[in-house]
Amino acid sequence: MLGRLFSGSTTGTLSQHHHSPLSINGVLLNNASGLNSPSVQAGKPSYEDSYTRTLLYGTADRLNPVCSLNEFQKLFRVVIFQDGRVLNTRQVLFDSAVKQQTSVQNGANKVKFNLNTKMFHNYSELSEYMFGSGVPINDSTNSIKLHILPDLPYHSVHKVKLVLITRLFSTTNRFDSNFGNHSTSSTNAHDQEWVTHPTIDLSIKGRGKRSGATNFGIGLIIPISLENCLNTVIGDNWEELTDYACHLQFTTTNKLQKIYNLQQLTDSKDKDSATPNFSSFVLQNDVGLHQLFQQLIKLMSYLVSTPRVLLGFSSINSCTILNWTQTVAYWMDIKDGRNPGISSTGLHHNYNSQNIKFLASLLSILIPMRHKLLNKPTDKTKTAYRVVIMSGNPIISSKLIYILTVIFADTHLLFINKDKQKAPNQLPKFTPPSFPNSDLGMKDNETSPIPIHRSTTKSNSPRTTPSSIKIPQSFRRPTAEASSSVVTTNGIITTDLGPGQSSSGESQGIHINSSYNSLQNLSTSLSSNSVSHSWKHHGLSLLEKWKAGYNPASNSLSVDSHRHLPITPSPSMDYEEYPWSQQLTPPTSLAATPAETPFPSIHRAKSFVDLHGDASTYNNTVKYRLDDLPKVKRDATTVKTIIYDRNESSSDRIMINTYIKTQCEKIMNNDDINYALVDYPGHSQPVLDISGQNFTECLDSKLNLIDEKPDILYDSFMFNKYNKNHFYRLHHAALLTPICGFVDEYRPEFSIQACPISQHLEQQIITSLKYDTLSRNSHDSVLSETIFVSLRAREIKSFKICDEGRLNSSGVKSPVGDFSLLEQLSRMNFSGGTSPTDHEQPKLNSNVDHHWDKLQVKTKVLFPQPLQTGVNAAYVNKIDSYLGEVASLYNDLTQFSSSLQRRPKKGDDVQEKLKEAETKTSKEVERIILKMITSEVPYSYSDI
Amino acid sequence: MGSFIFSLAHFCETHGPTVVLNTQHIATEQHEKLISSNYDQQACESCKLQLPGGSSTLTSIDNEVTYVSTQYPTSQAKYSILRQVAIKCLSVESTSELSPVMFGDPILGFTLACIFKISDNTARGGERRYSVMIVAEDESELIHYWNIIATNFKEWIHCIKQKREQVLSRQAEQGNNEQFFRRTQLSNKNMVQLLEDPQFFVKMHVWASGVLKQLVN
Repeated sequence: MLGRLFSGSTTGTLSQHHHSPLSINGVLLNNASGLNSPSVQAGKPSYEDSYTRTLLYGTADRLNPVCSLNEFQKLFRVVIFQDGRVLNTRQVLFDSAVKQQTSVQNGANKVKFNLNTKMFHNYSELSEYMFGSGVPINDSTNSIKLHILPDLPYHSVHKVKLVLITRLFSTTNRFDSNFGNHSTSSTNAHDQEWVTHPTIDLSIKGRGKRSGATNFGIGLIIPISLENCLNTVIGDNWEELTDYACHLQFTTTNKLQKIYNLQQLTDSKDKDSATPNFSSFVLQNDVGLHQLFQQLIKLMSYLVSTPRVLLGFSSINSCTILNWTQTVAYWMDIKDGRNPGISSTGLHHNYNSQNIKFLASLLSILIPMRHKLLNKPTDKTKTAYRVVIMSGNPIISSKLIYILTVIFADTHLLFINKDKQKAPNQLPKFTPPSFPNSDLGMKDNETSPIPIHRSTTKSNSPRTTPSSIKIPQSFRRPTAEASSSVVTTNGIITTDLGPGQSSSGESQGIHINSSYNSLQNLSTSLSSNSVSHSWKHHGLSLLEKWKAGYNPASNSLSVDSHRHLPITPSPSMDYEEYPWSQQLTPPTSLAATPAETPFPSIHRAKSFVDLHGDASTYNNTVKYRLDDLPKVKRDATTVKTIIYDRNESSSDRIMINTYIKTQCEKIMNNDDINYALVDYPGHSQPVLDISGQNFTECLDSKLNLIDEKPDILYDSFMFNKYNKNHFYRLHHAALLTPICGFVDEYRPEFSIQACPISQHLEQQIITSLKYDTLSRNSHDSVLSETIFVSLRAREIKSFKICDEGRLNSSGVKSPVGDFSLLEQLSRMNFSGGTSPTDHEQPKLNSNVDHHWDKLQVKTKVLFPQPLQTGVNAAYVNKIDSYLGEVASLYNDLTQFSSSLQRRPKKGDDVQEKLKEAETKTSKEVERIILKMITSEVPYSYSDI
Repeated sequence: MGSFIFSLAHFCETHGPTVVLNTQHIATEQHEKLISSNYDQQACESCKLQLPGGSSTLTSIDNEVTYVSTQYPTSQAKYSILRQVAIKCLSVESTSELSPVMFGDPILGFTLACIFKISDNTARGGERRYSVMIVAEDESELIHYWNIIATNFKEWIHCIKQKREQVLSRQAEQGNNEQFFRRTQLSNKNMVQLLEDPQFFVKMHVWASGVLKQLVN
């Protein structure tokens, strides 16, 4: 019965994965459900509407992975071998592909391990690839190999290739480790002609077999649909894969150590001389290894299928700049509560400076670290930087990420495998903190309220009647005690808006009052630690919305048709809940309990476009604008071509394979290569020289792997100087930076991401930080840092881990020899676990916690308090004023546009005039953006 | 940007795994460092880098980068590395023919290699084993260039094999019955002889320089 229950509960992907054991010795695998997360499944939901998708990714199309791993999930495999050093003594310790069968023979249980040899390569073949054949090499260092396995009939039929990644390592009978020693990277201390750079250096001192050492091999088998996908699936994710392999190494060693210690208790052999020797399938029933195997599938699925943001695209031409401007203007108005009014001249909007300055604060934190965010967090040679936005609203978090991408607008950085080394040189100048420290005025966890008053604004509308609002208790830094009950009460009582105020009327201003109130006064849960988002609250919120002008007939909020701007959302809506989202169906995996459900169930929200008032007009404009964008040929993670002239045919493109083939044939068939014999002093033989024209003639001149017109996108602001017929062609797909939109759980592989609300998220981030320190060879004092943004709590926190105390006397990172500790930490890092379906709270046991406390994760609240005081406040204000200018420009443009369309003068070409105004605005915004992101930072970020 | 070394290795029937040619890239002003005078005149025909004009070194200056091909690198460290890598590639690592393999460790660096065989009735087993390899200092850099390197290897090997087939078919047309007396034919042969192309190593240098150019650019 229980078996039926379990089998019934396994649906979707997991059930397809026939050889993946659901339970080992009766222990149900907790993380099995992880495979059912939306991203892992083939029908991955999109968290963005097509408009946002276009802006973030350059195309409105659903982005499929270049190589679909979902259909081949059952071909993933992890196998662990022990190399006995004697022929035919290689033992299989673990194989995720085998099926275990127990039979009773002569009254005794007999366990049989069956391998489907039609789908999986047999052990002798695998071990030969992993350890090699022929001459045995005394090789005890950590080494890595990559093979493309020969096809079995099953693979040929299904057109799939298997890639084997092997990690070899050795350990002595004491299971000692010297992880983190980087002293063996060069062949010779005095000869620096060959200095190697392994992705992760877990090398041991010296070369050659250590006494009593045994070699082990870990094999990861990953299916790819085509051999050409190898670069995209394996090469582009190499850092993550090697990281995973190391993690598996920690786990395996820890488990073997435990088994060995048990063996020693019952064995009378001399402990010092005994070589570890394990029986076949000794690890086969280990739940942890099976969980890890599932994490491999999950890891690869997220890496390959999560769409990455196309940087530089937001500022590619006037249309994209205007779209960005519009998004910023809305955010400033609706989210930050910046209150527009009409200046005394009546021509220009004035924005008061009294707003919560959330966006400005966030940008002021990210601008100084912007280049660092382009590195992979898994790149062990650099400090890991991440920005994690916790939000229950995928659309709003995507919008925020879209706004934030502007920090990369002036850079030449678009792809991960380009300009790898350039980033540090392009950092903005930091001026030394010339201000007295007292000016900084930043104290951790300061909770005093900030007296923000709304300034008087001039408006004809009664709805924009100025009011002075003192920020009440709820604006204080959120604490766990600030629970939803207080908030709800505030939400109903303290709002300044009556229902009449939000109905459409003759107002010329944006209905900012209620929005402002909702921001300043109301929050359903005021702490990032608190996840009290109840269904009851949604009910109240609906009531409030109705009171505040919700029109049930049209199922939309009332809008001010004159301004084409959205009406203020209900005060009871949270900061992150501005209704920009289209209908969202909560993913099943995230809808674990009502208390934790991050997606509102009530579709009170319409799309960004719908909220724009005259939806049809707006839609037309948007369509026109999006059509004007370059054509981007890309998949989820890479870009192949960007064509500016949308009419250009792409059929004449010759891909890299053809180029290479042509070049090889040309060289081989050239029987008349011109060369010169040159005598060099001190050399007995002449040197055969093929230089200059002789050399270039031999090579196919067409073959130039340097991208054509690289400046067009790299230097995005240069675009206007180019003819539109230009196109940007890449001869091979280029990997985009690890910046993504909304993902359904926190993934440490991405540097900027938004993920759902989870009470475990902060713990997850801290774990990632600690895991980042392992074998990190960064020269920076900061090893890892994460900026955590909670939209619900309107809070920005910094989690930072420095290498204080991690350096031993020789300056080399001290070895971490506790495999148990490493295993636990890495398991938590890889397990994700922010999904509400993951009930296992990732927490280190007290013993481990004690060890890792030494690493000292520094947590600081950066917003609301610290940045709003002293020198930092000046910088935030500066950024805020730039954003205010952007918002003003947009409002001017919309006002001009509406007046032009309402009362067109005779002989006026409306479209032409509109285009002129748009171009002018976009150029102005371009100028402001450049000023904003290149302005001097008046403090070193690390001083915050 | 780490450095790359291109290499052609051969399993000599007499000497075992041997490096026949290696191509390196260096800044033009320093290129003389790589010009070798350690030409092994005692090397057997099979291991010999046979160049026109009795030369032992090939150079190609391409703006600021110069590509230098020699039989052995001038650096002792690199010589040692290439030798060990050749042994690993041709005697230790197991891979199917024409399937690229990557292997490496923090000491030897990281190698992407493709092993291939040239049919020759006069050789032991009727074939001669070769390996084209690129050894890199930086692991992730090498893996990121997998497609470019692997495609180049495959196409070049395809060209070599095609040329060898042409030679064999030409020999078959000439009707040399001596070929059946294997014992009398046994000898060490290098690529120049196998392909009947005196400029083979010159072409190899140009091609290897082209591959390196794609990587270092």
